[in-house]
Formats: sequence, structure tokens, C-alpha cells
Amino acid sequence: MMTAASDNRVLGGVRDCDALTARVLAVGDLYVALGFYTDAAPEIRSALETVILETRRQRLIVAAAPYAPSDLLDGLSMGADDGLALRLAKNPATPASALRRLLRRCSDPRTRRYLAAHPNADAMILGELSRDNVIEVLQAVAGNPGTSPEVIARLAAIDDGSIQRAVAASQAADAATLARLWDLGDDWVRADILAHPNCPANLLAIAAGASDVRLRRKLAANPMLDAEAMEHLLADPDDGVRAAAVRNPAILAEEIDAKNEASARVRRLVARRPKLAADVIARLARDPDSWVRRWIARHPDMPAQLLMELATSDVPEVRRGVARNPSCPPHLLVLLAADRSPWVQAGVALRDDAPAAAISLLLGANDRDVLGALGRNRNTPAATLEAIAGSDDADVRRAIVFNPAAPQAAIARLAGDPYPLNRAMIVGHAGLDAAAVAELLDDPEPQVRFAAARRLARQQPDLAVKY
Amino acid sequence: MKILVPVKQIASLDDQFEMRDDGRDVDEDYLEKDLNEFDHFSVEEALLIKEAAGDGVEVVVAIIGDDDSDDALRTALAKGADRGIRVWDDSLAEADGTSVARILAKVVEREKPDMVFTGAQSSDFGSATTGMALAGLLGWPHAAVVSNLEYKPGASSAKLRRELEGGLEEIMTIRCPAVLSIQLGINQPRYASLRGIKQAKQKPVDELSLDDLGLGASDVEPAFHVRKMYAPERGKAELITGSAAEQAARLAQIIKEIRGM
Repeated sequence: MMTAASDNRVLGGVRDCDALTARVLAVGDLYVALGFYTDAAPEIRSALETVILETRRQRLIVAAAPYAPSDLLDGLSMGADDGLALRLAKNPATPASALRRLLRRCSDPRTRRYLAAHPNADAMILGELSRDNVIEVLQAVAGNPGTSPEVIARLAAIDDGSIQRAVAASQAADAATLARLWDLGDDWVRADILAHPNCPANLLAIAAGASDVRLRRKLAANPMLDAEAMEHLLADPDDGVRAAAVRNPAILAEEIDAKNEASARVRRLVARRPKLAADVIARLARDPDSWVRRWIARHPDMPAQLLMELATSDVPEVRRGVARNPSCPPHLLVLLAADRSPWVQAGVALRDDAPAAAISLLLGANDRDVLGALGRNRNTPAATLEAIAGSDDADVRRAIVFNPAAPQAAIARLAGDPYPLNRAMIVGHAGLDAAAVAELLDDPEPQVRFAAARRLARQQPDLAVKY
Repeated sequence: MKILVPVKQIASLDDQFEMRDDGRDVDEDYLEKDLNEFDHFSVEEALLIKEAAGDGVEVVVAIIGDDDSDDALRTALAKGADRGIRVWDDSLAEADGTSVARILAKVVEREKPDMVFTGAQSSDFGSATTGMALAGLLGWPHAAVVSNLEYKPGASSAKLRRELEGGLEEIMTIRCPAVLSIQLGINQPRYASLRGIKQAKQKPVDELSLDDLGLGASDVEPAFHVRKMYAPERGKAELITGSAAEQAARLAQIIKEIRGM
């Protein structure tokens, strides 16, 4: 049983805890009770369970809810019928102990398939299910990232394309398993083997000269390739192979030079890489393809002179890229704040580091993108934020949720917003006072009630006095 | 001036569900209840007319349903409807659209509205019969799938647009009073404010029985009975891989299997 001291920590004092618990039980609402459950003492939990698990309909809802506390799901797995078992098996929050319990008396192949694919399935569960006689269950085991190398090696011998593909993509597949699979699988399986970090070196060498473009594309994605192999693939006649090589995180900045690259698709990928040489950046900034320019405009290593040049582009998305570039100098942000495109202005308005002069230029805007961005900006004046909180557009109003500097009046307005998602999200705002959170326990929307109860249970004890 | 808006509480399915033991419907435990999506639009259309006209328009929502359906009715009241009517009798448990229309015709007789707006259909059964049957019973003009409406309270006619097949639209004038079945997208339904939700709990709701409307169980007998409801077996998809020759061989094999060769 939890001590009084723990109760104090969780719910702010025994008296408050009792009052709050009484309030929650009196409300008798599934979602409020769920919100309190995790932080409640054991004796309170059992009282909450009577509310949460009152009807079969509620038990089905809880069994399928990914936000349900794992302890509750564990209890629910005891004596679960087929309908409940299926939901618990599908629920990513169901703990391994519950999954093991379900497996012991599971006759439904669908449920076993979900157990085999479950992220919390442990070695015991996956080992047992790897001997199942239903092929879909075995496919799910092969695709589960938690499956052990031994089980993966055993499954590799099964003559089934889906299982072989899953094994080839499994991080648990070792070099010996992949080598055996190379002889058993079709071209698709072999292609996946080539992308695997444990792929044997001799297979990588074979694939480098393969005529099948699928094999070379997958090979180019292998993070273990050496510099020589990578250089060879960067010069491949197929642009899909070159694109895969450019995407490969193992490639070094100095190995990339898009000087003679004819494919805009590959150049766009180059422009998105975080590390690039200065001459490559300069060349891409003047690329004829506007998608290349819009990506490179965001590159943090872009010099100010080139940013200025890109800021005069005819393409608004390129100018927006400049506005979003963390290296964009303040004077350029002021210039872009007066841009003719609201999309570019919104890019400036999103920046907390925008100078006051830039923000001032944006205050008269009525475009929803600009207003939404200003609503998130901690340097927007309070009066503007209050006006944004009263906007006719629910998406614009929601921006207040993401602004840690939002004034009380704007936050309070969001707590009474007609759009339920806005109310659910403002519950998490540090500026929302405890009384307003408690009011939301009576909200008509389940997700709002859950969020309010969760927050109260975690950190807001004094409110219980109110009740 | 009064607009009557009949609404329905519909049931939506969980992604995994089970059938009732009698095999004629889904087990109630697997159903989520809510206000019919189409009715959000018909209520909104009535409220827009009320707001444009000022104080002279009353919007009355009516529902045929048991205690549980009170939530759907209060949702419509929370948006701004003035009062509600709920009609229920245990004999209505299997009521069809025509039975509901017979009850609504009596409600119309009692309330004497100037217009009736129904949703174009219910999103659970989709029969789209209630509005049409109601107009037939009343002898009122009816227009279905109304996607635009120009109507001033007290006017003897309304101008409206209807969606037709192939992307066509029809502009028509209709004599009032009329029954209009409102299509999705005619407006942007509002969310009820928290204040509206609190106020809705205090708004008057007349709870009526069949007796109150001068009807008996035999008057609302459904014209059809569901014999069986089931999920048909789904077709199976297969990803055919391998070389062109291997793929062609597998395709030929599948064709032979299907044709029983």
C-alpha cells in the first residue's frame, strides 16, 4: 500500500487525495478514472477499477486503448474472452506478462498473429510462436524486431517469400543466415540482403557488378559499404542507384559532388544532406531546378551572401526556405517579413529569434498561416496573442497551445474553445491554472477529461479542496 | 416561424466487432453511439437561418430513441437549437425509416413547423427514406441531397441546389412548407461551445410516447425485418514476385485454380 507521504507527493496531501478521489468516483466517468489510475495508490486503484471496468463495452474500450495503463491491461488479460483478448493483443501498451497469459489459452490464429507482431512480445512468446503451424503467425514473428538471431535463423529455412523477405530485413539476421538465404530466396529477397548491415562481403562484391538494377539500388543503401564501393555506385548509370547512395548515411560530405549530376532527383537529395562542401552548396544555390534551390535554401551552412541572392527568387518556397534557415541574418528576416507571399511571412513569424522589427511588420496580417505562426512565437505581443486566441479559425487559435509565453487570457480562452482538440491540447500548457484544469474534468469530450485528470493526478493537488 | 429538424443517434462499428447471438445485428457492446453526421449539417442550416433572421425563428430538434439517444439530442441543443422532442416506445426498437416518418408526421401535426430539415441519410443504415416518406405522408414538397439553400423565414418558396449524378447540379425553386434532405458540405457545422453544452442540459425536452401522438404499436410496425447480417468473406491478394517467366507461371496457376482446371 502507498504511504501517506507518497499520497502527498502524488495528490497533495491525504485530505486533498481523499477529496479528489471522492470527486473522481462520484463523477463515475471512465476517462476521468483512467486519467487518475496510474498515479493512484493501490486501494484507490481498486475503487477506480470498479468505474473503469463497469460494463463490457467499457472493458472493450480500455482493452483497445493505447493510452490505458499497462497494469490495468495486465489485470484485464486475466479471464479475457476472445473479443477482449484480440483487442489486448493489438494494443501496443499491453505488457509482456499479459501477452504471455493470453498466449497460454489462445486458440484464435488472428490473436496469435497480433501477439507475434506485438512490440512487447518477449523471447519466450516469440520462441513459442515461431513453432506455430499458421503461416501468418510465422510471418509476424519474422517481422518482429524483438525476434532473436536463433529464431530468425530457423525461420529463414521456411519456403515462404514473405518470411524470407522479413528475415532479410531483420536486424537480428546474422551473416551466416543471410548467406544461406541468398541461395534460397528470389531476387527481391537477395536485394533486401544487400541492404543489410550484416550482409557478407563476398555478396556485396558480387552485387556491385550485377546487371539487375534492384540489386544495385539496395546495395547502395548498405551502411557498411566502403568508400571505394560507394564511389563506384555514385557513378552508376541508373539515377535510382545514385539516389540511394546519396541517401546512405555512411557517405561522407567530401565524397558528394553533384557537379556533373544530370538528374534533378539526385541533386534534390544532395541538397537535403546536412553536411556539404562550400562549393557544392554554392552550385546548388544556383541550380536550375527550384526544388533543389528550396532545399538548399534551408542549409545551415549557406553563406549570407547566397541567402540574400535566394531571397530574391521568384519562387515563394525558395524564399520561405531562406526565412526558415537558422543562419538567416536578422536584416534579411526583416526584409522577408515584408514579402508579398504570406507563406514566406509565416516562415519569419515562426522564428523566436526574429528581430522585433520583423514581428512588427507582421502584426497587421490576416492570413491564417501568418497568424498561426505568430500565435506560436514567444515574442508576439500579448494583445496579438489574445486576438489570435479569439480567431474564427480553430487551427489559428490552436497555435496558442504551443506558445509557452502565451498570456493567461489567451490560455483561458483556449480552455473554453468550442473545438475539442484545442481544449485537449491546452490542458498540457504550463500556464493553465489548476482551477481551469479541474473545470475540464466535466468536459463533454473524453480526451479532454482524460488529459485533465492525468494532469491533476500528476501535479495539481490543491484543487481537491474545491470539492 | 419554426424549423423542425429530426435527428438520429447512429451507431458506428469498432474495427473488430462481433455479431449478436441471433445473427441479425452487431453486438451492442461493439457499437459507438453518436449524432448522425448528416444531421450536423441540417441542424447548422436551420441555425444559420435563425441567426440571419434574428429572434423570430425557433429551431426544434426531434429524435426517435430511448434514453441513450438523449446525448445526440443534447448535442444538437448545445449547438443552439431552442428545444427538443424525444419520442420513444419499446415497440420502436426495430423501427424502419417509414415507421419513423409516421411518428414525425404526427410531430409535425403537433408542432406545425414552417420547414422540416432532415439529414440526407443516416450514416449507419443509409436508407435515405425518412425525409422522403415524411413529405409523402404530409403531402409536402420534398427535395433530396440539398447542397445549397436560399430561404427567408416566412417566404412562400425557397431556392435550392441539388447534387446529381456525374457532377451535375440542379437549381430549383420549391414551394414551402417543404421537407428538405440536407447534404453534407452545405455548410460548415459548428462545434458546440462549453457554455452551449451547459445550457443544453437546461433546455426543455418534451418526452412523448406513441399514445401522446395518437399512435399505436400497429401504426409503427416496420415494413421489413432483417433476417441476417454478416461480414462476407474477403478476397485474397497475393504479391507475385520473381522473374517475368516465374510471374507468368504463377499467374497461369492462379487462373487454373480459379477456373478449377
